[in-house]
Parts: sequence; structure tokens; C-alpha cells
Amino acid sequence: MNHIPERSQFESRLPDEQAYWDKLAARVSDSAEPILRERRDADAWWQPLAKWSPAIGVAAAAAALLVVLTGPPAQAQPAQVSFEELLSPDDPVSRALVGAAEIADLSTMLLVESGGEQ
Amino acid sequence: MKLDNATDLELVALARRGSRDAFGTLVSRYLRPALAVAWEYAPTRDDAEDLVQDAFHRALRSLDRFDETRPFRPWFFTILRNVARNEAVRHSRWTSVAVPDDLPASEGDPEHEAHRTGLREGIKQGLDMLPPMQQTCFRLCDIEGFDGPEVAEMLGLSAATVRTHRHRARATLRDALRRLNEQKEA
Repeated sequence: MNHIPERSQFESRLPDEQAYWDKLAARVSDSAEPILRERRDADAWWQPLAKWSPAIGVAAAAAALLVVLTGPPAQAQPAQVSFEELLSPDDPVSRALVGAAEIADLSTMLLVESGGEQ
Repeated sequence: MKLDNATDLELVALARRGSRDAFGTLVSRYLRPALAVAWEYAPTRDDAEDLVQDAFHRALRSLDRFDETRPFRPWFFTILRNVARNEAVRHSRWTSVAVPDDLPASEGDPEHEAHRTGLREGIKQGLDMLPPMQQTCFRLCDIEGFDGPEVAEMLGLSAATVRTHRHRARATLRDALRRLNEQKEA
């Protein structure tokens, strides 16, 4: 579209002189300067960050590596604690489970919880 | 980067960040067709220039909403037409079509000049008879020299629609010129 179309047999009403177009283009651009300045200002705040972005990236990677290398050693997996050790000795359910000669069934435990001790 | 060779999208990206040179290159690239379209809405060249300036400013403000996967040209011309329509509504005196009255007289032999004057008169009369969109398509294609697909984008029409308007306009103008010749011969 940046070409000047060929003239037809009729006469165009658009001006021919390049000076006219240059002047009009300058007028449009000049009057757009406040909008352009706003755009430049909006763009400016992150420019310093962008300028230092490689250094910031390297520093962040180094810090992450440091944390990985100097951080606390991975905790050993706690030994499996037996179910009985977790139960309080005073707990009636615990007593029913651990102290019974035979494995208590579910109904027994429910009775214990509701106050009906064996 | 040499901006004259930059694509529209490259220029848009730079203009978004406030590059005056990139914006100026976009303006220069589309100024002529923009004025041609604006003049279809505005009665005078001064009014058309104001429309063009307003449209470029609105486009610049709206660049953040521009979809970079789509071409710039139709997007810009949509803005221009909207600006022009709004102004046309505001100024009810505006007509959609203005026939050039200030065609420069050419120097030459009187017979040729008379023929040119007659032709101009015939075209003028014929243009007056055309519906606005036919006038516009005819003027942009046949007088200003833009090609059909280009005009379709400028006006937001399909290429086939522009072709149809143009064809009908030419037929009407041909009849008008024929009548003019018959009147002269009679």
C-alpha cells in the first residue's frame, strides 16, 4: 500500500506533490507525540530490569543451587511405628485392642466407646 | 532495523513501545489510501485530513488491543471508517460523496480540452446518479488507481462486492456519457 497507484484516465483529487504527503505525515506524527510519550513512559519502568536481566537470572540460579546444596539433609524416613504404640494405654479402645486375648471385633469396640466395657 | 522495509507487525511492536519513527513509517505507508477513504465521508480535504489524523491517533491508543495474528491494514481501516461515520453523523451537512470541483484545467488544443471538459462533465453527472457505494468504489479504483482487493480492505467489503459496485458504476457512467454525446450531436 506504500506505492502511489498508477493514474487512470481520469484525474485524481488526491494531491500529487510528495511535499504535501510528507507534511501531512509529519503533522499526524507530531500531534501523536503525547500518546507516544505515554507509551514510552509505560515501557520505561521495566527497562532497567530488562537491562540487568541476564545478571538477575544468573544470581537467581546460583541462589537456588546454594539452597539445594547447603540446605538440611533430607530427613530419614521415620521408622514405621506400630499401631499399638500410637494408642494411649488409658484409652478403652486401646485396651480392648491390645489387651484382649483375641482380636476384638468391631462391635466390641463400638460397645467400649459407648461405655459398655467388657 | 531499516523501518521502510519493516513489516507492519514489526512497526506495530515498536510503535507500541512509543517509537515515533515506527509510527511515522506506518503513517506514511497508509496515508494516501487513508485520505482517499476519509474523503469519501468528508466534504473537504481539510476535514478528511482531520479524520485521518484522528484515526491514526485512535489506532495508536488501541495498539494494545490489536491482535498480532491478524493484518494491520483492515484493522486500521475499520478504525478510520468508524471515526469517519461518527463524524459524519455529528456533522449532518457531510455527504458521503463529494465530486471534485477543483480539477485542474490542462493546457492543450481547444478540441482536446473541450473533449476533456465534456468527459469530466459527463463523469460528474454520471457520478451524481450513482448510489454512494458505487461512487466510492468507482472513484477509489478507477480514478485514484487502487486495485480492487485493496479497496475491499479499505472499505471493509469483499472483493466481489467491490467488483459488482464497480461494474454497475461503469455501466451507469457509460450510459451517462452516451447520453451526453447524443445531446451534443443533436
